[in-house]
Amino acid sequence: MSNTSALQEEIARLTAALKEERAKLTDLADLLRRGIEREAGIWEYGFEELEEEMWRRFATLEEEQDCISEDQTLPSQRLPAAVLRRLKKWYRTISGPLSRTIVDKRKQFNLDQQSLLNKESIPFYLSIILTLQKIKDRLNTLEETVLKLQSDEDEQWREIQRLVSPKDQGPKE
Amino acid sequence: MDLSPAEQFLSFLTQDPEPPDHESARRLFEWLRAEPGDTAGFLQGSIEALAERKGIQSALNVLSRIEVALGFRRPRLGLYDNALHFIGGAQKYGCTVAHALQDIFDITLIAHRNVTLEQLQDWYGLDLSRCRIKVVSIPYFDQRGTGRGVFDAGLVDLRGDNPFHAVSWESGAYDVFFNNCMLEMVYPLAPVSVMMVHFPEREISRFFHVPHYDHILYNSRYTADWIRRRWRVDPHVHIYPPVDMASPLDSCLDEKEDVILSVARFEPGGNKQQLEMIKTFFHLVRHHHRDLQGWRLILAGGSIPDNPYLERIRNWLREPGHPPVELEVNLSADKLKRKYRSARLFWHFSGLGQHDPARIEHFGMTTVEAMQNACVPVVFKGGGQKEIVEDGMSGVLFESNQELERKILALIKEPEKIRKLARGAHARGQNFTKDVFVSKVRQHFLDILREYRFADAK
Repeated sequence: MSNTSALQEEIARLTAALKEERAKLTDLADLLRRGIEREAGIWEYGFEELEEEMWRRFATLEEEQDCISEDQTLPSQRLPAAVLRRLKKWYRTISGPLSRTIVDKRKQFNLDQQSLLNKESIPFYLSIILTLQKIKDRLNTLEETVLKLQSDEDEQWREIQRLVSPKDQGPKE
Repeated sequence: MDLSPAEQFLSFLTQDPEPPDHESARRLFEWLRAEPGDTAGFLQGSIEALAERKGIQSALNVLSRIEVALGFRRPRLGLYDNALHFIGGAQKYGCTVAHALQDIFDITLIAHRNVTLEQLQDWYGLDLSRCRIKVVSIPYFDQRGTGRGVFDAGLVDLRGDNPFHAVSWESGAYDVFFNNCMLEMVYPLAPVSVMMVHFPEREISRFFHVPHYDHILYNSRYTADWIRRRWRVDPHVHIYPPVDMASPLDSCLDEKEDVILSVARFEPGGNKQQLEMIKTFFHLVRHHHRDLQGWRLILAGGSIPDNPYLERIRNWLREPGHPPVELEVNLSADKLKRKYRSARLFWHFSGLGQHDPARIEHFGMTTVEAMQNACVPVVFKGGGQKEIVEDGMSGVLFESNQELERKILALIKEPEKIRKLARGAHARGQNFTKDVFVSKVRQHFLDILREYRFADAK
């Protein structure tokens, strides 16, 4: 047996074995070892559900918009919370350049909160895009209906004119 | 440490995630061609490792590529069209691709309903004798009985599973998968995938897989623009559709009569605007009777039975004494060609007064058919028409009814100008012939194959 045919046969054998394995699978994700499709969810929402989704996400985005870390300030027995907050802000302003070099980044910029914002932003924008698509589809349908109505109107006028003056032959505009 | 060719090959098979650069892969395959026996021994382990890491399909694709690269078999191409069982322009495009490539690839035409090669050859006048047909059923549509054999992605319920994955699975059986119906829900599994986009009809949805295709072909710059706008991907290769209706110039010019011809399907929704043409023609004849003395309007096109739009047109033409308008429905190709040869002017109104890009002509095959028969196109300035007709050189473009009226009257008063435009149209029409199309398709797929085989490019 030549080397070429040995390789050819080996490839044919492996291909047949893999095809057999493939035939047992039913999900593309198993075939590719990864998911390929987006989860169902916002994609199939109607107008009202999309609107609700947008406002719900917007509320979270608005509430969580500031990603600079700030621990909750509680009032002490001597100073009210508002004064304590001002003092902390004043201290941060003065020590800013120094603290930025030594304080952990996570303390300066709240990555967890930013991550939350990202996760809220995607469905928020998707809801807007899908709403726009649906509006566009409706406009197209409406436009088509208007054109058809105009055309029907033309024809009806023509019919009326024909009935009113039967001697005047030929279609009118 | 330098790797031996065998070790390099092993690394090629299993490396993740990037494929090797073209030059090193080419050297490897050259070595394989010379010493194929060295490889057989360790192939099994490598392939099993690849299947484990990247899935069975990746392993199968590598084996397919080795087979083709080493010349063990001819490459296989699967050409899919969800409407192959209907006569249509897009289907003709796909069948012409198959016709052009059948001596290079083993071609399988993938359909959803029974259709024979004889039927396809008869419909489109093409030799497809070396192709075969495979029917892949889609239970989703069969169970719902939707639309008399129409497999419309717009009818898919996005809450459920993707019904077109039956085609995705099938696509993995070929070296090259060609999606001729721009069905964006089909995920390509073949090592090389090509999508032909005639127009991006639907928006991005949950089942949108266009970015996974290696090559996106498009039929006009207008379509390319909308692919970018609607699907956010850059198409790659521009190939105008094949139009094969040409006649010799001199014989056409001798046969011309005072006829304005329209050739377009009588769509039930009236997208091709034949009624608008009738109204415009009536208006012209009534207001410019002397200039249009002897001119006729002929409306030709295909139609389904019981077409309400066609019935409305017939109602208009039932009036006694109306200006001369003739209807020619479902003409044979021969008779249609005779109409083109004898008509002096050609009208195409699609897009006039429309805002939806899908309702504007994406290319305009009938416009080219007219031009190939020295019939001067007077067409709406929009969509693909602008790419075909050079205003004032090979035809006339208009944007409104007023402009159309002005330009038509000017033309009719100057027969010599019509003759000059007819010559320009005929010459321009030669850029869109089947021979030009076949040559471009073959060139593109030979490039793909060269790359696939890691053969020395050019």
